[in-house]
Amino acid sequence: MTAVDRAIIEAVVLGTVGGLISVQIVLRRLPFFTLAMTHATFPGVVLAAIAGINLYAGGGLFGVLIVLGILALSRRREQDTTTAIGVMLSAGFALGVVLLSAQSGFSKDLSAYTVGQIFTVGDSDLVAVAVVGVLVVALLGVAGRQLTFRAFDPGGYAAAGYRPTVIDIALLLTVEAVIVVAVPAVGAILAVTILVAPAATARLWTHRIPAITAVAVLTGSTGGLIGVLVSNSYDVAAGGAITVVTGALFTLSLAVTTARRARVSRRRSGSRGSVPPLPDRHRGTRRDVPPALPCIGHMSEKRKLLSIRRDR
Amino acid sequence: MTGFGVRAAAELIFTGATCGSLGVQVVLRRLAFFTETLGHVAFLGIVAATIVGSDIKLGAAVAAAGAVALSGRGRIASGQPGRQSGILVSGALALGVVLISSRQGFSKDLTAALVGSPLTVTTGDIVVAGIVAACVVAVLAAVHKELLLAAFDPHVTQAFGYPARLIDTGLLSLLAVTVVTAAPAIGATLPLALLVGPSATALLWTRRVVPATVLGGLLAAGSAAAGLVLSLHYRLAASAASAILCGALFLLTLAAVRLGHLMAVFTRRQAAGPI
Repeated sequence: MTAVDRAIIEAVVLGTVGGLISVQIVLRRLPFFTLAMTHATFPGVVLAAIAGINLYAGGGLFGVLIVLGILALSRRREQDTTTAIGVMLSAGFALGVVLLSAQSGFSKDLSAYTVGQIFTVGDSDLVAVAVVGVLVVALLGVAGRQLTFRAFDPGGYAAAGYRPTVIDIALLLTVEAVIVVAVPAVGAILAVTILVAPAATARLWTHRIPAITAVAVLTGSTGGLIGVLVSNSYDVAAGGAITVVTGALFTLSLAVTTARRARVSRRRSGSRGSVPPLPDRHRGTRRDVPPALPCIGHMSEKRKLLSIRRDR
Repeated sequence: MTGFGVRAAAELIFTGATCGSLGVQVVLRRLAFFTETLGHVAFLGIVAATIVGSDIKLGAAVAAAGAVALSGRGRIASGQPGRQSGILVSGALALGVVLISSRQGFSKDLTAALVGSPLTVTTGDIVVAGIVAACVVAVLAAVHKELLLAAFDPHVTQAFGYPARLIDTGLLSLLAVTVVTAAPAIGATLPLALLVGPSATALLWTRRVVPATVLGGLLAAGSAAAGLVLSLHYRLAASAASAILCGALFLLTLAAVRLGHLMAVFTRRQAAGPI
């Protein structure tokens, strides 16, 4: 197996896994949180590389710590979640840079960890991606229905007797696992694309979750495949190429679906062209969009009720 | 300290003061995600300018102006980041990486664009940073009342007849100018730390906006200077050291505040005695 074969397998499997988990990330509106998780994983990977331990173990452990840190910071209502995530995000990235800069000749290493080197992945990397893929499929198979329930109706989920915290932590740990195996391929700061773009693209085309999942998997794997091929032919960074192609699929879908919707609405308002369409007052409140969540695991429903009562 | 050290100190202190005082507005309006987007788009501009061979600030400014024009019309000020900006944030970065990787030996350029290099700033950079710092402080002082009203209640702002949209766009443009000015010294990814960390810390210390703005500026300038000193002593990346200090400041203050809350609850319980 040549390096290109390995890179193609890695990119396609990673795109598939990212596509599967991205559905939950988009449903829960966690893109910014995911961005923070990727940046927070970066210093862990650097530390692991400096200490000479397994990259996956080091990065994963550190990422889990940071996730718990953000959750702890955002539990109180007086502290704005966006600010807490922003601080953790930039400080985490800066920590990675400082750790690397303590070594001499650091700019080469920095680019390897930030944007990845997919052409140097080994068999163990492929195995790691496959194992995480099995993990993701297992999570979605066992708890997919509950995850969707939690995303669309957090109050109902808690009332039905489920424990929101448990499933939130399970979801976040799985996302962290995907981020960690994505680092050698596309790097820490580009990983967020393969974790968000596939489902965001699919969501433009359809509203049904099985269909979204299918389109997301297709988008992710296609983006990976084309990205590696482009990188191989034109000699540009593979991690960048994969994410640019995946982002381009989203942009293309956005353009096509926007144009289609404009055409449909023009046809509807149709013959009486002089009457402007009524303002769409209910934009963004469509039923199939889950309610905006301040943050995952923000506060248990019971505590929220308690705090409201206390305010009165 | 030698010539380049003095230049780096001046640049970092100007940048820190600008970021820290403007950062209070970023925290009040929850613009952290937008700031990150701006930084990544500016990164794309820096890379394009590096390849073409023009001034990197020019490239960054053009790109950031595009980002403000794109997102300023949307619901950016509502604080709820959409999927589009999620894609923009990573897409711009990825495109920049692809562009820069087409050059030979690209990792040095990539590092400079990502985290900046304060030790190589020119006198021109410092002059621009000083002018921008003065402008930001002047604008914050001149339209303080309007900015505050628009941050807390956009509807009332409109009802009073203030140009709410102009205020929003103006603030976003000011933010873009700040990020672009900071780019040579602290790169495209680290302005967020200087913008959010010290000002969030200041808002934990005081809930009043004017003292928080002054305090934010001082804290950011102080962290930047301390980061530079650390970097010269221990051979670390100067910009990243400053960013870490900003983050650490916030986390420590937050921990202290939490501890204070806990202590207050505890002593109140003790004073109340058993019921």
